[in-house]
Amino acid sequence: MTDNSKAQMLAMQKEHGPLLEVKDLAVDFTTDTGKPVHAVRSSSFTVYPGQWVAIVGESGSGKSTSAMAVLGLLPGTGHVVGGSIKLDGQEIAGAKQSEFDKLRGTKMGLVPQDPMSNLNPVWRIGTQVKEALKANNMDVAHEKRSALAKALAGEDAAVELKGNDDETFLGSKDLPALMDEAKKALTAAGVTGEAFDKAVARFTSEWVPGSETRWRVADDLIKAGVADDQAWYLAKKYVTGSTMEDRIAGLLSEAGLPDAATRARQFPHEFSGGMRQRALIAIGLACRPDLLIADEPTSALDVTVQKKILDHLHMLTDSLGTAVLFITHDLGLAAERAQHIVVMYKGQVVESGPSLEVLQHPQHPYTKRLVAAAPSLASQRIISAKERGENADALLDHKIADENELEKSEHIITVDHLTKEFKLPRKKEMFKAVDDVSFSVKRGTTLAIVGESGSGKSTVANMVLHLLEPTSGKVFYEGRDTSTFKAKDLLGFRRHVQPVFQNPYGSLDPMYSIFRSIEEPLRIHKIGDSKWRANRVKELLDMVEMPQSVMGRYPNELSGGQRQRIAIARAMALDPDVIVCDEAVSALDVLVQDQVLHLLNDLQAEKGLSYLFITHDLAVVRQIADEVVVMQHGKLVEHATTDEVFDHPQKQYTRDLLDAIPGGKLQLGLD
Amino acid sequence: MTNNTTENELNESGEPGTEYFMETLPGQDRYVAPIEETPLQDVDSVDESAPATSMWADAWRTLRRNPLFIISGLVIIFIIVVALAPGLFTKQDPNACDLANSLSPAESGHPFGFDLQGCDVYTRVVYGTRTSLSVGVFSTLMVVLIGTLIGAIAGFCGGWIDAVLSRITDIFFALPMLLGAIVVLQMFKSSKSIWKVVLVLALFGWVGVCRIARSAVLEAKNLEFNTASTALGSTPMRNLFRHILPNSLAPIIVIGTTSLASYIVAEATLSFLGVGLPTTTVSWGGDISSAQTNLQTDPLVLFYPSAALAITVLAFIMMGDAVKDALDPKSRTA
Repeated sequence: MTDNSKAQMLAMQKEHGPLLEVKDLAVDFTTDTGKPVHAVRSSSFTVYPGQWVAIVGESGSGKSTSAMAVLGLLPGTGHVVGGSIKLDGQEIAGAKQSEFDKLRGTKMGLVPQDPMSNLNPVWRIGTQVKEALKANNMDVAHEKRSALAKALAGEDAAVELKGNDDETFLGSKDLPALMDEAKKALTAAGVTGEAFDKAVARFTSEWVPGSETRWRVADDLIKAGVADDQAWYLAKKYVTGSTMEDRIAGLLSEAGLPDAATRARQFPHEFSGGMRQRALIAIGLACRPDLLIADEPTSALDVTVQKKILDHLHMLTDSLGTAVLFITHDLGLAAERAQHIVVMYKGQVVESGPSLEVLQHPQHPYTKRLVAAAPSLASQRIISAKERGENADALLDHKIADENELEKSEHIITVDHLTKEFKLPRKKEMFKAVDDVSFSVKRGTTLAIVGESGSGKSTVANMVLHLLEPTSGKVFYEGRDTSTFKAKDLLGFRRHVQPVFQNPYGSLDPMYSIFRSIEEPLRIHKIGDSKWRANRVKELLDMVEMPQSVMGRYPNELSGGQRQRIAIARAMALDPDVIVCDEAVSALDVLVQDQVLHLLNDLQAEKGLSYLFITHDLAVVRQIADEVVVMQHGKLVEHATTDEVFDHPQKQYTRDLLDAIPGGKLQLGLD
Repeated sequence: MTNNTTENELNESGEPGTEYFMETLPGQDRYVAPIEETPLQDVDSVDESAPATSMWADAWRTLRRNPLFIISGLVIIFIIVVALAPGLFTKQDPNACDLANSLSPAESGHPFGFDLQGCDVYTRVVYGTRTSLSVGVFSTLMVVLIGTLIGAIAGFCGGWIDAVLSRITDIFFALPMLLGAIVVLQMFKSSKSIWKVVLVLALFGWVGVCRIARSAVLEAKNLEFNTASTALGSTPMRNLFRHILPNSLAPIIVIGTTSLASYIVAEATLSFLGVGLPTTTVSWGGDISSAQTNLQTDPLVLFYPSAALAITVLAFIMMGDAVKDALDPKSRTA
């Protein structure tokens, strides 16, 4: 955007005043016992038209609750107990649900967090978009565009807008005729050769029924060289409004769904996570709200998909002049996308300001902590406690251990031409989840396998763990082929190679106390008597920095990060050589993630552990790994040291992954 | 629009990005909360003040607060006491009948009056409790044992074993319990006993539990902690008994408690039809059956055993509901 239009927009925003003004908001939840829980206290923030504002904070910080209070969608017993929420000058704190019904959709839209559960599985995608349009009585033949949007649309605003008629949508039945006439007009205007092809290609991609408006068609024709009169004549004749079906397809295609008309007839289960999120964006924007509230819209998606979707959303909201209140736990993502950041902690706004300023000069200790922990902003491997020189004695121990290890082989785990095929239901051919993958893990180092969901990285982990039989290829542990292991060898192997799984809520048995969970491997391998085991469990809890008082507790009482630390303690119980971390930190908040990564790193330095670290997040890789294997569609794409991959990526796919790290290019100057 | 730096003016040193001034809109000035107001806490610290709870402790806490549970619990305790020690409530023998008292109304010491045979109705109701309760409890125990065993095997093994067991279950499911029980019990009409009734009820009742157990085991089998446990070196059998079955117990307990009442009803029905318990055994079903002949003249003789049956059944159904609420919070209605 040019400086000129930027200044124009700023003036416009100033003149208009805030779109959303939240002052001293307080939200309480009432518990079973009747005691109120203060979810949000004295929080204030402001959103201007056409602006992206991000609320950043960890889970439980009150960021979603604040947004839901704005929408009037507080769950359960939540209610606003104080402060004011003004939307376009109108007070809506404590408004009736019927008043909110009028505001939601046309004034405020929502893109929810979980794309998997927010679409109704029994309705077609198109029907669900239609529901949004019908509920708000939207005119599907004309674009709804606010005065602000027109002004914000910079160059577009230069076009003279002749009332509502010029905002008429192109209909699918008129498209073929319009295209024919446009080609004729081009020829008549003397446009030939390459210019002609280019113009036609542009028309084909731009003229989407139900999304392209009359004046845009005219504008496109004029730009291609057709005379003004002729262009407007054609636009008026052939752009005469769209049907409901056209508008639905138009909305979906605006949200970035290819082949939208066909897609609209499909059901949610036929969509991938990213496509569902696009459908939800289409629904959120269907009624052209002034304010779009996006509640962690991409947290469940792969980084490359996240980047594509947010890029698209940005483009769309910019052209519509929609303000976005963006809720995220990732500071890097917030700083990259929003102009203004609001940091929340324990239900309060602790810091807010222009995003770069907040990021570069964090003032509140919590913001400082967030900035320090954000993996997307980290530039180097975590330095372990040992290397920081905090414990010199242990460092000596480690050296001695190193000397002993020299006698053993250099590579502790070697994966040789590993392939895994799965039989898909209702399909004849086999699906290759892992295709000829080879690598090895050096003793005492971390090898990370990076890839998007479906890249086969977890399948590799399961084969290394001997939980899945490879179709072909071999896994060697200490130079021995694991497929030849009989019961006794396998038990020994299990003792040395331990897993930590992704889902901290699923990997601990809810019926087992923490003590029994950690003790379980010792029981299975019949190590020590009960007294010895009790002492060992205490040792392990100390190792993962958990208080011994948690022994009698159950997993449901612990947070995700705490459970993951318990899972690490369990994995450490047998003094393993190798730990396979399958997305072990993916489900955790950045601060907790940072803490667990530090713990893993310290344990590695202390015990000489080797890690096979499976993750979708390249940012995390930089913090923990020595070597990286990049996987795509079951194949190994790139294998090099971490620095090599980050500084000189060889393959386009690796570069795409690197580009997708949010906030990766932001300059950081920590105070 | 993402890039604000275009608006930035460079500072005097001319170094971009380090120090800049940007026009902020009203209400969007830099704000930092006073640190005293939001003291920083440790990352992810454990709340050590809260009491430790397991799933069972949680369920117990929910139960304790449920009035449904308290009422039904008290009634059930009372029923159990009556069943265990009927002598505490009446000094008479339920089979000591004097035809001279036939259909006499209530009198002192005989609050419910006498039936056609001249037996004390109150005493017979008290002694009938034991029969009904034991049939209910033993049938339920057997049903739960058989059903869980077969269901767990089917769910855990999967494949053809599951297919075969599931088809057998389907066959039994297609047989109406009462009809089947009548047919089978007809064969033993000459040698009736309480155990035969229990066995027959279990024979036709196990399928319900079996289906629930199978799906619970299937669900628990796919949870990640089993994989974790296998990776720790645990065997499949160990997983089944240490992890999968304990995690499948909740729905089995729920269906056990709720179906207990239906076995009590089934026993009463069978006895009423004359194929259930031997006539020498005092039971509510038998008494209701013999009282029906004089329903028009002496409805009270029929009323008392029926009321006892209804109260017992109601208490167990209420208990089942309360247990379901506690163990399966998702099924709770608002």
